[in-house]
Amino acid sequence: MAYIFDEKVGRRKFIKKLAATTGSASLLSSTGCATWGSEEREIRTDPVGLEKWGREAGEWIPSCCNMCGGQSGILVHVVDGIVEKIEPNNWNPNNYSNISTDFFDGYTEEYGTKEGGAICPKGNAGIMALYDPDRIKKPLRRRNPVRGLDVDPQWEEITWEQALNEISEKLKKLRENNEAHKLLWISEDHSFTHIQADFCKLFGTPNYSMHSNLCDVARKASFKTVVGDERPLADFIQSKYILLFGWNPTSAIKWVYLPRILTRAIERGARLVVVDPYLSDTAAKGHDWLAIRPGTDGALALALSHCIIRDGTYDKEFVENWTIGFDKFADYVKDKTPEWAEKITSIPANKIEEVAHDLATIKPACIDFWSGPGQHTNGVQGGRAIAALVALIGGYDRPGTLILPNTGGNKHVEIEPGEFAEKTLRMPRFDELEKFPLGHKSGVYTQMFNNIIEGKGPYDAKILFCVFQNPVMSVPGGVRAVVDAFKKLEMSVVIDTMMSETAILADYVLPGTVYLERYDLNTHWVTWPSVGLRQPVVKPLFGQLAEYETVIALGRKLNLMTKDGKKFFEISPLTGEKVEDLTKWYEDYLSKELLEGKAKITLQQLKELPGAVWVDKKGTEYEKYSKELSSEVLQKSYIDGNAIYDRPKDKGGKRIGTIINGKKVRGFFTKSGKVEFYSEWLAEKKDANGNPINPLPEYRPRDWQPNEEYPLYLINWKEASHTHSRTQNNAWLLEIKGYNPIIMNPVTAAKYGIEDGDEIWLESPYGKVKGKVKLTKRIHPEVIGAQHGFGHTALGKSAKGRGTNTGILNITKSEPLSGMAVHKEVCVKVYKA
Amino acid sequence: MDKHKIFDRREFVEYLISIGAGSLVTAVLSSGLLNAKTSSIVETRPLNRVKRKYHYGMVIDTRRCVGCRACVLACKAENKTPPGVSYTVVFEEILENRPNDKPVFMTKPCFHCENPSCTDVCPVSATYKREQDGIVVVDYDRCIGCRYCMTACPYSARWFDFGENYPAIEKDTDWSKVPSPEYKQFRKREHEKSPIGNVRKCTFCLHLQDEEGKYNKEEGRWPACAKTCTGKAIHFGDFNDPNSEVSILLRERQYIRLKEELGTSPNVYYLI
Amino acid sequence: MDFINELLHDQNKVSRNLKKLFWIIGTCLFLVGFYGWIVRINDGHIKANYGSIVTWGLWVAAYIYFIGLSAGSFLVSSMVYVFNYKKFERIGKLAVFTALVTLLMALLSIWADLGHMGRAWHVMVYPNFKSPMAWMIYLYSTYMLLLIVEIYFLLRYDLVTSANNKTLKGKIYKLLSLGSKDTSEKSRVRDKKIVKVLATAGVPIAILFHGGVGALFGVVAARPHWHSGLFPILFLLSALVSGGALLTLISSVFQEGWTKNREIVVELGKMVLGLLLLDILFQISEFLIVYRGGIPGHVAGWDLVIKGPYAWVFWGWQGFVGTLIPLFLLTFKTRKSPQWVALAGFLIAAGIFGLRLNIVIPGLAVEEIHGLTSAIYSHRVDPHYFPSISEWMLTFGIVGFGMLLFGLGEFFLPKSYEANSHLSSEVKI
Repeated sequence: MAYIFDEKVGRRKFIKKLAATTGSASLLSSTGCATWGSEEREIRTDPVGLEKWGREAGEWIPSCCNMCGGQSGILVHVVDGIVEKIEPNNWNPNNYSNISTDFFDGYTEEYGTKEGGAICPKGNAGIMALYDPDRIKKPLRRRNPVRGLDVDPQWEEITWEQALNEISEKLKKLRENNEAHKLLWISEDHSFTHIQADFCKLFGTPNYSMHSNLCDVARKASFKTVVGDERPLADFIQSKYILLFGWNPTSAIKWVYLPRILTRAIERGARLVVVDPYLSDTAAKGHDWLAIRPGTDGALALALSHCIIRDGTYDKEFVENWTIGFDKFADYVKDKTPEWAEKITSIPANKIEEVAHDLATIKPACIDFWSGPGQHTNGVQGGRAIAALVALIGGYDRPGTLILPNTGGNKHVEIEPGEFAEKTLRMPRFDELEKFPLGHKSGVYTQMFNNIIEGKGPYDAKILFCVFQNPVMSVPGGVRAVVDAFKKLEMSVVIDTMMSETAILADYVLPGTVYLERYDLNTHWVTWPSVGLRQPVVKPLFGQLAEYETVIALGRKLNLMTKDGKKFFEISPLTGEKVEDLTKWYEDYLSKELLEGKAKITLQQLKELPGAVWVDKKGTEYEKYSKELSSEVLQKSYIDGNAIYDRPKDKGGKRIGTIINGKKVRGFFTKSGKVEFYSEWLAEKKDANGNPINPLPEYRPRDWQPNEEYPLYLINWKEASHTHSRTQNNAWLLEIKGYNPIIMNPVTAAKYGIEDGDEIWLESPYGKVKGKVKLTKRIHPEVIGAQHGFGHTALGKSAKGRGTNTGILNITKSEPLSGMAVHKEVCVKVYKA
Repeated sequence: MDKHKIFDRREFVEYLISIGAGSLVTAVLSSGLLNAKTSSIVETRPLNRVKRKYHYGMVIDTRRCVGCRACVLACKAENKTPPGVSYTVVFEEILENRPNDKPVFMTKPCFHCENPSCTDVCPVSATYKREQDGIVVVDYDRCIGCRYCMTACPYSARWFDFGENYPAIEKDTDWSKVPSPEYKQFRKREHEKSPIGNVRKCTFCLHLQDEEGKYNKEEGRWPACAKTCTGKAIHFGDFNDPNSEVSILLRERQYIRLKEELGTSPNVYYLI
Repeated sequence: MDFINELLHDQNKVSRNLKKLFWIIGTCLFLVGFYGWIVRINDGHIKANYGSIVTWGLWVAAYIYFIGLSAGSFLVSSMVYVFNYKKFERIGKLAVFTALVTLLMALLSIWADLGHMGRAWHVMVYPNFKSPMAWMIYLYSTYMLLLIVEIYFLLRYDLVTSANNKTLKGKIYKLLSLGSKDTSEKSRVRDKKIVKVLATAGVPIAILFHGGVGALFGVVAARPHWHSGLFPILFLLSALVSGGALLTLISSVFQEGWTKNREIVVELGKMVLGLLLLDILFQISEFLIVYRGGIPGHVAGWDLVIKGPYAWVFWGWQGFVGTLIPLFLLTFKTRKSPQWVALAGFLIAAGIFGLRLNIVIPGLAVEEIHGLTSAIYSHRVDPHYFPSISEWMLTFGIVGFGMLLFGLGEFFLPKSYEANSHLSSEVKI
């Protein structure tokens, strides 16, 4: 071996060698030098991948979202049967604006709206809902007769055929015993509701209920009594002064146009004032935040009315021509001074004066409210006070105010059930909806579950179908009431995509579909008619039936018939011919709805429209109430007193107008045809507890007030990150909101020796829950709160054990006029865990 | 000192000189490095300083941002980033003394700075600012994963891919077949293969550029965060084009950039 | 105290026992390290607890610690081979060998920390001369080559004379001698000269690269906790302190331990005390300027150090154990006892590791943008960091590896320090 370090080599040589080595090293380096500081460098690309997965590959299918009930338009990129990405649908008004002039400004058929649409985080995260590995894949049958949230149901996988056979057998038996009305059926309220309603009708049960009574039926009832419409829509973008009571539109997004139109209104000079116990993310965009005590919104609205009437700054023209009961109302609010309201609401009187002044002088002003004021036992009356305040400033159906709805595109075609069903259909509803004078067709979940437990209903309930609902988490006190109720039922069936807390209690669990696997028509909640299509962009992942297909299949097995003796679920609603394929049948059903509705197109035609959305070109109309009805409409109309209907009332006629001073105008769909400060109709009614109802929007404190033992109000809210209690297993959404801290004011926390980040107990007479505290001055010092929906004990591996379910602390109870579940009426004490 | 005579005095001095010489070289070296950074603080350079085709950047309207975080998830959906990697985030800045802790929402992608402090520190030149459009990119095949750039970025805009996966991928659903379109490389994240073990960051969705390096909003070839934004707060465009939306906004509105004092000169502006 | 006195009575026995202990601990740590390495190789970084906020953790801290030990040891050795400081002659080779072993430990630590271990060579092929890290890598590569060559020439004569084909040791020596057979006086003088040249060249390189490591942190303007002109100097000083301290410990255990090295240990103790005081001075000046300056970003890092969840690292480990006790031991009567000085050396060397942790982690744990770490719910976006089990295990493994390598070297390499030292006094270059 020629070694280099012997004396033969010598030092000099050694150094030379060394130099050579380093030289070669630097040579090596210099090859890299070409790329050093090399901004011109190109990174390699993969043209094969681009062709297979790029934007030009696969299909972009227009559809509608259903991550929440908002139904915004989406474009879904599908490659090889896999959803690659979900993007906003630029043609759908729900993604842009609720006012047609704004929507059509710069709209082109080719590219849609000028600025492009938007979808919220949930919409973006739909992929994770579709590909959630915890989804239910096969029909399951319970083996363990013992039921409970922590009881293993001992599921047994069965085939679809077996599941449908067994379930329909039991349904058939029930029906044959003339007990069809003992079937209770609850579902989400934006998806495949029409077909479920039809099924229940043909089956013979009056007990079809929906999610709305957990949501906003108090708001619906308030507006219904005052202006005759359930859901007026706020025209923020044209408004100059926006006053919101307990609504968080930029965060609890629902309709994804809301963040845009609200921030744009502010940009265009509108002032935003938010009344809320919590400085919501909407209030964060606002100019002023009025920190109010929960459940006292009505008092504030009355005080505002007091100031406006006292100062004579109300819209005299509107009040004179389009309202009734003003004098009685003015008389009622005479002593509802700002000082009176300050004591109740904790909002300073001078602030109330300031807001009243601005409301009456800045035009147009838009006042709206949502679930905040409604989910208390005084919710409807509080809402009526706000609706009356709106009337005082003439804030209905004018640009920049609350617009009366003019929605639609498809129409639920009324069917007449066969004679057999007629008998049981006439039975009273199990949830005693009739007792609630302003009850909504969505029913009263709290009463339903309480009746099952206590056996106090008009009859025994035997079978419960629960579709895409998780009442254990969503009904106040559901962890007790719903669990107990399920124990008393003969059979329960849950259809859901996830093994929810409710599914765990059921006898049968059928895998549901995620919205990307199914059809629906979505009437968009904008101020002019529009309907969007939801369509399956991928086949159901596990070969499961879509919910409507399950309903159709059951209907066929039960041979459900219409009055004319035809098997409803077997012949196409469109052509009248026999249709084997379940999906095809439903497509025809939807076509029929579109043809009968305002759209007057078929499903196929809707699919071919840009963005698969039909938008009425006529656009938003204002001051519709003063418009005279056309002779064309009047020809087919039917008149009952001063009210005009499109058909006889008993044949499902819809109110279309009113005779006022001999003129046939639209008016308002109240008894008088005008906005009612004073409701004669209500005066004759009793509430669900049998108490008389004040026909004026009186303020009465809610039932549950803080006391020495339970001194703090507890509220909850929604944020953009999650939908109700159903998205907490979505891996992406969990990354933007992983749990719901208990929000508390530092002043309050100091009183109880609680520090930021502490674990605390919240306790009410009904239970206690643990949570992690986040201190912020964003909340009223008498109030603590948390985002709703967390604290799962099931649903999926990721959802389990995250955050706090404050619903445990609540009582299963409803507002006595509307049946609205009182989610926000809780008082608690807190202490360190 | 005499008492504890550690060194012979002469030796000690020699020793010190040696140390001093070494330190001096170190100092010169590091000051040279520092110079490159600090010079930009003094000079104010016009936006189109660099001769290049495009000068992409964002103008984010803080008044329009509602803090919904749609951008965060749109980015995730577009780039298929793993858990813990989020090229854009929305943070709630609580300004001191602002009554009621009223927050300001800010969405924060990579700022693609004119003088990025992250690229110069990369020991292998894996991350660099592209000449043609100023986008700061990472060459996944070259990056060794030392994460020095992450420490150097003053805006926490860089993320390390630890190799974690969402349940949908762990459990081998169809979603696990979907590659990330980043850099038009369509990589699937596989064990120990890039981009796992690499530093990752926002690319202004450059994979949506056409051959010429242009974006097209109408056709949807636009950064995912800007596309989905619910308040339409994220404006994207070319500062070289005086008629672009972003140029007009900078002309007409008041804006700030974050940490101006560091001289990084971000290409993302916040309207206030 | 009695127990210790008794123990110290039979000094040879103590020395033997300490060595035994050294082997046991070294082997245990080395074995434990397998777990860390297996996890690192199999799972990459998943099991590590650092994230995208605190993005450098235990391994980087270990790296700058080991590399500091290396630079420190080397600089001490240079006193012998550059400045002819004869008192340390006996431990000269040991110091150079320590420098090599700790350098290898450092490289292993930082190698494990890379996202792609297989791409370490990229640094040579795709250089970026603007990057302090690149410079650091070039410098320590040069330094490593230099160390290896220097060790070769330090040991060549001994290897050649001890090489034979009979015993295992002999065979190893033969292998390591790289075929050299020259045992002439001339060759020994030549070796000596080469060593002097290399050692002299090594001094600025060691200073450069360790100062460079300080600069690597110092130039990061984004991290106020690091962004200080003092950093390169602070790194050097603490390297000297830790290196010197480690050598006090080593020379009182190895090469016949304190029985023979008494004077060296005590002498080293004095030097370490001086350096430690200087180091404290610099630390205090940094501390005072940060707090008096009061810029929130600068204060935040130090606040974490002295008031954060891991304040015990500063007060207990680094401050009390690593500084206060050794100061006491090196100042009072104990300074003359090699056992106590060795203990002080051990404590200082251990304490500096706390210092390294307190440089790396607080610098990163301060949110760069307020509210950022609560914007995403992920354990990778968290300002709190505590190393995971596998991180600890791997680091222990590297320590074990270093100990075994050192032990083997010390065991196998010829112990002709007596002869060598004898010679060195004669040879003049």
